Formats: sequence, C-alpha cells, structure tokens
Amino acid sequence: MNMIDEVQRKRHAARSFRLAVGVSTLIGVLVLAVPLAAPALDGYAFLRFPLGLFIAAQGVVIGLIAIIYWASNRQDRLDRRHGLTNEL
Amino acid sequence: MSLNTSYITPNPRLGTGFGIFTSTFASLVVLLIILEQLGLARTWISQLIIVLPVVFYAAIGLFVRTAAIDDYFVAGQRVPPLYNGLALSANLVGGTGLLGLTGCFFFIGYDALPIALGWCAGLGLMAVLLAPYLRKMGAYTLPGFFSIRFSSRICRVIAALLLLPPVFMLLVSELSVGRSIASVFLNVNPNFILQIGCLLLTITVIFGGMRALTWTQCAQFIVVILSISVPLIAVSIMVTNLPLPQLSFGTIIQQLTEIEAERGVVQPFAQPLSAVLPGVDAAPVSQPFGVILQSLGAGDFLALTICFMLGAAVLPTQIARMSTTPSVSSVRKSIGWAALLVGFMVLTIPAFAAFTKFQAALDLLGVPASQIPDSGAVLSQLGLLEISPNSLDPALGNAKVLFHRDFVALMLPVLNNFPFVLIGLIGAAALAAVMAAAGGQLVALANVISNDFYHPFHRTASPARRLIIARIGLLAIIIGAYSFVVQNDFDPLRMLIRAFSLSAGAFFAPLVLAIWWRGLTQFGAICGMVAGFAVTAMQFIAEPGIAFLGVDPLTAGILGVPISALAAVGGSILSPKPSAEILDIVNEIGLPSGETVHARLTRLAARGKALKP
Repeated sequence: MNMIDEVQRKRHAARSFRLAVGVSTLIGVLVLAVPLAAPALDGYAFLRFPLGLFIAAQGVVIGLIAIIYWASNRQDRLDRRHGLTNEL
Repeated sequence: MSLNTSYITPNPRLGTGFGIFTSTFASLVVLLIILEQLGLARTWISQLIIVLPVVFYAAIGLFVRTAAIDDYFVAGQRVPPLYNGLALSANLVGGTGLLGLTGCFFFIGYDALPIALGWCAGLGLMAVLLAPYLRKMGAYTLPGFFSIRFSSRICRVIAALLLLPPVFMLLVSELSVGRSIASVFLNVNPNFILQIGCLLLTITVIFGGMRALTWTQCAQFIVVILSISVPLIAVSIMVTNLPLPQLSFGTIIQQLTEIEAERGVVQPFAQPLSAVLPGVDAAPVSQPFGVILQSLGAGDFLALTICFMLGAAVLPTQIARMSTTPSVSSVRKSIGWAALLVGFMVLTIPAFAAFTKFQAALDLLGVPASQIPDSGAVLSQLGLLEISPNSLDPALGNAKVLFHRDFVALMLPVLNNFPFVLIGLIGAAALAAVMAAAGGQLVALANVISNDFYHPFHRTASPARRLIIARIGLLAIIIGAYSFVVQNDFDPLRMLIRAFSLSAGAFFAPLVLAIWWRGLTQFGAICGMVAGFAVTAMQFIAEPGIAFLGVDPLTAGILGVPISALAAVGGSILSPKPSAEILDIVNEIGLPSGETVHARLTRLAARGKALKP
C-alpha cells in the first residue's frame, strides 16, 4: 500500500477528479458542439478549405490530440507534486 | 513514499527490430515494383504483396511464443508507451474502420465525420477517466477489474458474459472484410481464403497471447501507415504539388464540388442514419463530398459521435491493453501516442477519400461508357466497381457506375495509373489492419475465457493449465467466428457500429462509476451492466419503424448509457453499502504509485490473508 496520509490522498483525489471532469467536458464540447456550429463559417477559407469544414474535421482532431497531451502532462505533474511518481 | 516497488525494463532493441522490419517491407515493395517493370505477372505480384507480410506476422507470433502467464495475458507488463500506442491504434481502427470510413467519406462526405471524431474523443476520455486507474488495478481483463473492485465472482462472470457479444461482433466484421479484400487479389474460393486467414491469425497469437499480439500489431500498424501514405503522397504531389495530403486537399474541394454539381451529384435531404450510411452492396455516388450535416441530421450526427466516443473509451479489447505498460504514467503516454496515430489516420482517411472521389468524378461520373479511360476497365476487371452502359443510348448516354464501399480505398492507385504493386500495397494495409484488430479481439476473448470463466472456479489451476484453456478457447472462438462469417450475410460496418454501441451501453457507466464513485456496489454494477446491455440490444432487434424515442437502432447505445447509469445508481442505493475493504481498493486505485492492487492481493493471498484475485 502507498504510504500517503489521508489528507494528501483526498487532496490528490479531488484535484484529479476536477481535472478529469474539466477535460471530459472540454472533449465533449469540442466533439459535439464545434462540428454543429462550424458550417456557419464555411464562407471563409483556411488553407483553401472551407473554414467550417477545416475546423470540424482537422481542427477538432488536432485540438483533441493537444488536450490529451496536456491532460496527461498535467496529471503527471499533479502526481509528482503529491509524491506519487514511483513506477509500479 | 511507497513500498514493494519494482522496475520493469523494456527490451532496448525493440527500435532496431522494428527498423529492420520496416526496411524489409519497404525493400519488398521496391523489389516488386522493379519486377513488375521487368514483366512479372500481376497474379504473382498480388500473391507476394498480400501473402508475404501475413506470413511474416505469423513468424513474429511464433518467434515471441511464451509459457509465462504474465507474458501471455499482459505482455509481461513491459510494453513501452510508443509500442502500446501503436497496438491501441491498430485495435481501434482495424480493417473495417479503415475501409468502411474511407468508403463512407467517399459516399456521404463529411457526414462520415462522427466515426473519426468518436475514435479520437474516446481515447481522450479513456486517458483521463479510465486508463490510469485500470492500470493501477492491474487486472488482466475488464471483468477482472470488476471482480477485484467488488471482490465478486458473480460480477466478473456477468461482465464476461456481456463482453462476449460486442467483441465477437467486432471479430466477425474484421474477418468478413479480410475475406473481401483478399478475394480481390487471390483468385481462389473466398471461404478457402478465410480458412487460410483464420489459420494464420491463429498461429500469430495462439503461442504468444498478448505478447505476440503486441509485437505483431506494432508491425501491422507500421505497414498500415506506410502503405496508405505512399500512394496518397504521390497523388497529392501530382494534383496539388504538395507532399502533405492531409492539409493540401482543400485545393480540390472547390473543384470537386463544381464537378459533382455538373455530374448531377446534388445535396440530399436529411434522412435517418440507417438510410444514409452506405451499405455493403455496390451503389452509385449520390451525395457531394464537401458538405456536413446535409444528409445526416444533427441528432443522428451527435448520436453516432457519442456511441463511437463512449464505445471506444470502454472497448474491451482496448481495456485489455491497459495493463501491458510498465507504469501508470506510461499508460497515459501510450494513449497520447495512440491519439497521435489515430489522429494521423483520421486526418489521412478523408484526404484519401477526397483524392479518390476527385479522380473518380473526373473520369467515371457523367460520361458515356466509351469515354471512360482504361483505368475504369481495370477497376471493373478487379471487381472494385461496376460499369454498365446507358440502356437508352449506349453511345452518348452517361454510363451507370456503381462503387463498392469497402473497395473505395483500393481505387486510388488504379485511377492514377500507378504500378499494380501500389494497389497491392493498399490491400496489404487493409489486411494488416484486419489482422491487427481481429487478433486483438481473439486474444481478448480467449483471455476472458481462461481468466473470467475458468480461473474463478478453478483457483488451484496451474499457470500451464490456464494457458491451455486460453489456447483451447482461442481455437473455439476462431472456429465459431469462421462459421458465423461463412453462414451469414451482414454488413461489417453496421456490425462494427452495433458493437461500439453495445460496449458503450453495457460498460461505460458502470466502469466510470466503479472508478469515481465509492458508493457503487456490486449489485449496482450488475444492474447497470445488464440494463445498459439489454436496452441497447433490444433496440438492435426492434424494427426500424418503432425505434424508441426516434433513436436509430444503430446508435442505441445513447439510450443504453443513461439507463445503465440510472440502474447502477439505483441498484447501489437499494443495496448494502460497500465494506471498508472495498473502499480501500477504491482509494488505492486513485494512487498512481506503489504495486498494483492485483499484485498486492496476489501477495496477500499467498500468505492466506486475502482471496486470490
């Protein structure tokens, strides 16, 4: 078992929960709301794509990859701050 | 500070090994191109480019055979993040996804986007909500996680029973696609091809389990990425002068829209998902490429995205890979790699479809049969499309051209008059994707049979016996899957969507609650899984006209998930509160350091202080 006091554990759990909820919400908005709203921007162009299509397809995917990397790093930092970085 | 810490060292020569594999594959392709120019018959080229890589995968599988239980079930828990990411991507995309999604983009344009977005978003949810906690638990399978979480054998068996249908559906859809693709290149009976394919697939994974699967999936996904990139980059340079097809195909969207309008491909009215989604039979192109939310309504678009997102997050074959990395941090990194690789595929597939449709629209649509270039005849000979002259005026009337959804990806090299080897290269990519995903499903099912149906009732079984049971189970499953594919006509893509829907409905809510809510009880989890599974499955068998709340039966998972959550919460409230030992386990999986819960319980069980997990 990990030798970590209860206060530290609860604090780590609460922060991890907030991060998970925040990131899940962000992913939900990005994947569900952006593709529905994006076609309104099709009158503009980006890299010769209709802007709406570019945002709905390439933009959302690139955004998701960035979020996954950011969230993973953030959680790793959080674990380190609470002294929970040892390998299994 | 933590106790009982161990460090597992990954093989330092992995990079060299895969470098040699990649060079060998590239050399094979270059050699075949040279031999083709020297006059080697297409029959030989087809056989060599399709069969040799598959034999090579089987050789990798034989080479990494194992008799160690940790190696067989979780690849020794020492797969580095990049390689686990490759294997996760191969599991997720698969041959059905690769060919089906390319075909969907070709037929319905950007209305196929929910599948692609769902894959990436599912990986995101998995990274933050599930993966680190599943890794800390250290269970070999998804039912194994429930078993440890609730100290419950019944919960394990029920989860295992509910897991079988979606994973089996994924397996048969992959085998069906593999048979279709191999039939294009090998002039023998399709069912004989399927028999040989099943045999090679079995040889690939039966001796090494998850360990063999991991390294073959890595090799297979490398083949997928290389094989779809080479012809696509060549076409991109020819058409746009840029070697980055994912970002350069914007230049052809405007032209493609104009050509489509000229040739009578007009914007359709919104229809239900089941009607919009292209089927497995040959069909004409009827919808333009560069539009979104035209043929598919917003409701169906969202429902399909949610089903793929939640289904991908809890796909049992993906969950089985969560315990293969050395640490919690590396499982997060491996999902980061998987997101990058799946993201690459998701950006590449629309580009592939766009360039294919651009060339197909120019050469094949709205022209008389006599004016169709030679590439049309080659496509027709290969069985990739069907061309029939206009019945009223064969000389001047437009020919009728029917495309096969799952063969669209193979058309690009033919339309651009590339060497035949490059057509075979796409076929090799498709087969690699099929074998990777089918292998993943086969191993996941075999592991469930041994770990979740056999082991809980035979606690004293030796590791050797557990491996024998897994291998016998694997043989039984592949024989069952073969029989199913031979005896049933079904659409692999629709089967895949149903499997994602079923996984989401049955497992998403109970799994998330099991990790994040201390109050979830064994009874609540069982209620959640059974209710979600039942609601989703009942929608599948309902007639389209009576689909509940207007939800298309394909996306029934969006009804299954909330019902499952309600049932899990309700069941937990009605049952006795979890014990202190169970709450300790919930606390423990939130801490990323220290030994896994599975390892701790195994250690305590050896001293008689806990039940063996």
